[in-house]
Amino acid sequence: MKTDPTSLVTIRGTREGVLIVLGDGEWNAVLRDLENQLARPNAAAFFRGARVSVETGNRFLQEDERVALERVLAKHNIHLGATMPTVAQAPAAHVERNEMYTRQNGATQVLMIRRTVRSGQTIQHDGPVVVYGDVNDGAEVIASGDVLIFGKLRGVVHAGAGGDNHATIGAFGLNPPQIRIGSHIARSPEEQKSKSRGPEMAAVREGRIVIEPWRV
Amino acid sequence: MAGTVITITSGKGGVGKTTTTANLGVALARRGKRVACIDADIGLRNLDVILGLENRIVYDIVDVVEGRARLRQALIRDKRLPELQMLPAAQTRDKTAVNPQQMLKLADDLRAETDFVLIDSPAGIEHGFKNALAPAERVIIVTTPEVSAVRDADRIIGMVEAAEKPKPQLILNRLRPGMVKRQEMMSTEDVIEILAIDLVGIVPEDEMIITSANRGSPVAFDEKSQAGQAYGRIAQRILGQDVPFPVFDDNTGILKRFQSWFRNPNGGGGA
Repeated sequence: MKTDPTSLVTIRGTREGVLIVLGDGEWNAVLRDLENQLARPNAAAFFRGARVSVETGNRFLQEDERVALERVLAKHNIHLGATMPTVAQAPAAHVERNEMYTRQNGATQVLMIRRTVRSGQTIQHDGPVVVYGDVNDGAEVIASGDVLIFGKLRGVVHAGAGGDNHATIGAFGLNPPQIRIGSHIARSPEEQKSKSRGPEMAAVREGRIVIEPWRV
Repeated sequence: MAGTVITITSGKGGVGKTTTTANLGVALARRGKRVACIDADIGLRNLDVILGLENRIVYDIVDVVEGRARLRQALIRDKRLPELQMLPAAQTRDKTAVNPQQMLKLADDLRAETDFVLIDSPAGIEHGFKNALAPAERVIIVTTPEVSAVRDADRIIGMVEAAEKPKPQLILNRLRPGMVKRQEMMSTEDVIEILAIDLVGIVPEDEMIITSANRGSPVAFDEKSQAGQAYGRIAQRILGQDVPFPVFDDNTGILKRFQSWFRNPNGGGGA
């Protein structure tokens, strides 16, 4: 399907299915543009039976934005497969400076986030996530793989979100209210949140989540 | 030269956005800058009271936006400080009475005739906040050293970043040095470590803020109190001067008690 180069939304076929890439711009304008493109006569045939994923560009979707996106797609009988809050780009010098990008690592895409994940922001990724920055109180990182944080963890992280109990969480300071790995949940101890004890990692050992010094 | 639009916001309510807006407005105006303060908290207007201009309101921001009044008619000029003007919020309407495009236009009209346009944002992350943020060229986040306020500030910083505004600056309000010393309150360093933005000022807890708000005469008018001096320093920093951050005394310290003996208990002067 051809798309207008001035459009805020790009739709293209990939080996995995159909990829909708949302460009930069005001969110409502992007949604309107997406609706217009889906309303084209040949769109229905293009999408039939395809696995559809959405790249949300350089933005974190808020809950209401995610719902709005799903609603637009549902109107055209498209089921949303996965959303990635990032644009995977061809390697170039400037890519290193992007705030978020993915890196192909064997079969899995590693999501790299070069910023602090702040309160109210959610990162969801099918694969491992690496954060160069803090994950603050009120933020959420949900990954089907490992989560490595080169900064302080104060928010909620779910590693191995697909059910992988071997996933690990590592951070330079581990101070979350709660940790989830695979099907396990652990709460932070009630006593005072201690000061940083240096790099630590969380893993499941003998059926429970334990926190230990980060040894590589 | 057109003025700079600065939005003052916080996420959480009650941390001192309006007090900060009023005092920065006064402190900047006292330094000879032409300042217009916009109360964007439509439906819950307060800035007029803090500035002591409430009985002079004829038209408000919604009247201007809906064309019932010209901007000049709605602006209230402070008689004590002619460089300072205020555009009041409407008390009988709600946030949806104005949209971000209208705020942009309004701020644009105002900045043509001023050096600074200060927008007092409502609490929250909804329509009212988005209105206040839309025209911002600089954003100042106000927080108190409390876990809940800092978390909300973090949320707001994320939204400011998402709106592709320049990195916001932080005012840490109502710091109580004695409590920090006893490790009962987050320190400046603790807050900065979490929020990871630049500090533009620290305002210590000061009872004068409450009495001055009741009198409608912001502490920045005389810059004698600790808080008044703090706002003066913030104004200088906004103007690009490099002003060091002082170390605040414990409020119950001996010096403070000494000073209080000399201070007229009736507050002297008044509005």
